[in-house]
Amino acid sequence: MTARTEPTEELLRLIRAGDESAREGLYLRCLPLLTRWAHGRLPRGVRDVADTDDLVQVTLLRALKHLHEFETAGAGSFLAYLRQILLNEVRGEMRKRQVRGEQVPVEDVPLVDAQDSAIEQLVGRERLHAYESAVAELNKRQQELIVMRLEFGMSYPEIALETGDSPDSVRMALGRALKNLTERIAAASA
Amino acid sequence: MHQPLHPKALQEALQAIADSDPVAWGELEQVLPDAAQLESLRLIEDVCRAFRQRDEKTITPAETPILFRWGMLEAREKIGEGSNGEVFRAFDPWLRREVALKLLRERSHGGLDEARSLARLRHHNVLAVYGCGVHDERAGMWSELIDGSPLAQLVQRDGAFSAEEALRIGRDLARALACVHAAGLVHGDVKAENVLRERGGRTVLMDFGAGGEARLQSTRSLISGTLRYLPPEVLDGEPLSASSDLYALGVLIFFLLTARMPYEAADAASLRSTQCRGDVPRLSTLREDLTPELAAALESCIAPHIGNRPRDAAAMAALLTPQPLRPISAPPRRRFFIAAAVTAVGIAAVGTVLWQKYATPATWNPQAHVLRVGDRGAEILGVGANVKTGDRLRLRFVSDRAAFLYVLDEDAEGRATVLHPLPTSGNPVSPGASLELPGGAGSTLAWEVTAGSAREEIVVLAATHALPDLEAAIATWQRAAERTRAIGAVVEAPVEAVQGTQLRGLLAQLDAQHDPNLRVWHFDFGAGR
Repeated sequence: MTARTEPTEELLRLIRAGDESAREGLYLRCLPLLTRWAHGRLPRGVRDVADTDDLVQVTLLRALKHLHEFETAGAGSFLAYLRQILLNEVRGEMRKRQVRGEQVPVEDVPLVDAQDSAIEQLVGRERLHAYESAVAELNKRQQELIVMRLEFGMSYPEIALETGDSPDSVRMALGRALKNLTERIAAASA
Repeated sequence: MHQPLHPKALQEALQAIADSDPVAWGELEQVLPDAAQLESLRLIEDVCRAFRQRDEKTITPAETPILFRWGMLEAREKIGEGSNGEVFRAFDPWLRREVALKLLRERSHGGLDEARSLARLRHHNVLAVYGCGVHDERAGMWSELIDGSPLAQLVQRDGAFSAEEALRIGRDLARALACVHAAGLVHGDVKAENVLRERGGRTVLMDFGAGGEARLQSTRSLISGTLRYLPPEVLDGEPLSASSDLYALGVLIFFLLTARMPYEAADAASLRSTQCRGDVPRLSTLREDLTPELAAALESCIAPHIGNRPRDAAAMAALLTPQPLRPISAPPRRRFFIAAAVTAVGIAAVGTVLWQKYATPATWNPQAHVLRVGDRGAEILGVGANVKTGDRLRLRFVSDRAAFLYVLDEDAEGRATVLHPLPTSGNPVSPGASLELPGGAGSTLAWEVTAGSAREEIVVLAATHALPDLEAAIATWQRAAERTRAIGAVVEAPVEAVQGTQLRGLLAQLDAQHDPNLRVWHFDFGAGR
């Protein structure tokens, strides 16, 4: 199947109109981005690689089947919406583990930050939390731009396809979003 | 209340972060003095870099065999060895990247103190430890693998740092220590061997083995820091502390500025005596580019009495903030600064030869190349090569005929300098001889890519005959001092694109396009993207 070139918004419209090929096209567009993101952001101790792939696929399939939930959530970027679902999944898993209080032999696990995701290990758990909290304070549009560029690594033309804007507009809007993010992180640390 | 951000500088920094380009932190610090805002920018850069690194396919050479497995890690190559363990380049399939694996000699959970300490910290200028554990009876820790060199090695190889660079490193380390101390930890062994400069310019504090929790330091009977970095009170029996870390940082900055230690002594007793006498060489004498005020402030960091030193790491960082340096008299110390934002630009073509169609290569074949020098020798920078902050560059010229060589430089402010010929290195260049700049063949000097803001252009002219008009024109230009440390990135640069007014004026006078015995190369360091 060839990649669909329509903006995501257009694909969503086609899906709602019953176009199954559009659903498949959107699935194929989102899957690699989400999978790559999830491998970095999901905790090592929670799931292995195969589980992570399964989780992403199931999450994506279910989201595509229940688009009304996405629309109820206030539309915006479909990718950012999926990222939030997965983040919620991570937090749910971590809460369950804390409740269960799993016991493992001490020498069987690394002593330091074994439960952290790869991104947490690289950035630091508290620092990543500070970043994500500040992102969550931004308006939905700015959140999406930051997530797509910084976390998904999408190019400006790819983001433009997602948002329906021009790449130059995306670049400028992202600059404003990052400025807001900088100020919020600084304010929170003061 | 935060000070207002400098809009243009902030915009450029955020653009660089979003596009994975290097950020000119040194420049930024001068216009964004608020530490919280700078730290928030560093956090965003770290997050962005972490996701990008995840996206990049980490390549572990297939031909590199796995030496052994330690837990999930695949040890590939031994890269270091010390008294308490060995360090390997290893592959972490979870992070999908290469890491440094440090295995301790003894199976000792106590030996994991360093990892436990570091794992509590995440700071832009502190080595990131990912984990530690015990496998196959061996305790170890794994951390980020730094592509860089210890400061001690850089000083040994190239001599003292520029004042700006030493101050920047000092600021980075003071902020790192503020983070360390805020976590209730003491580093315990701040020294030039334990600080790396990563390729790209990042300063990284590592090796926390001598320190640990501040509250436990008084229970230690043995001090494991390095003698010449220890303050008088520690030699008198006080435990290592945040204050002793800052004293060690003061010693380190002194070392970076002078390539010598402030207090030279063969043993602890004589060191203590020297400290008591305050017998330290004056920085203002050793470095004439430091203002007396700055020199005095830096000397206060290694004052014998603790009360005369900065009270904490934040105060020390403030003391090291960028400030004007004193202009120095002849010979002018060459300083090249290049925008960090362009240092990662690929070199599409280095050293474009202009007007070659007019030449007669069958009879004369001069060549000029920019080289990147490193531990593995020199590498000619060709199409597609990347240059990053911290890279060290040299110029090599070879001719199959005797050649009169003129290497001329102009910076963004219009300062023109003759790099060749110099009183110590004249013309003509002998046939077949390789002439290298700076310092000549065999010299360890190099132009170093640093974070800065201005462009730099070098024009190389070679002729089979002397060019008296040109020599007259450049007679009043300043000559390069023998010591040079910094330069910037190289990007594609046709000679027609020369921007320096003095260089353009000079080229206009030459009939280079119609002279088969004249060649011109143009290297543009730090041109726009």
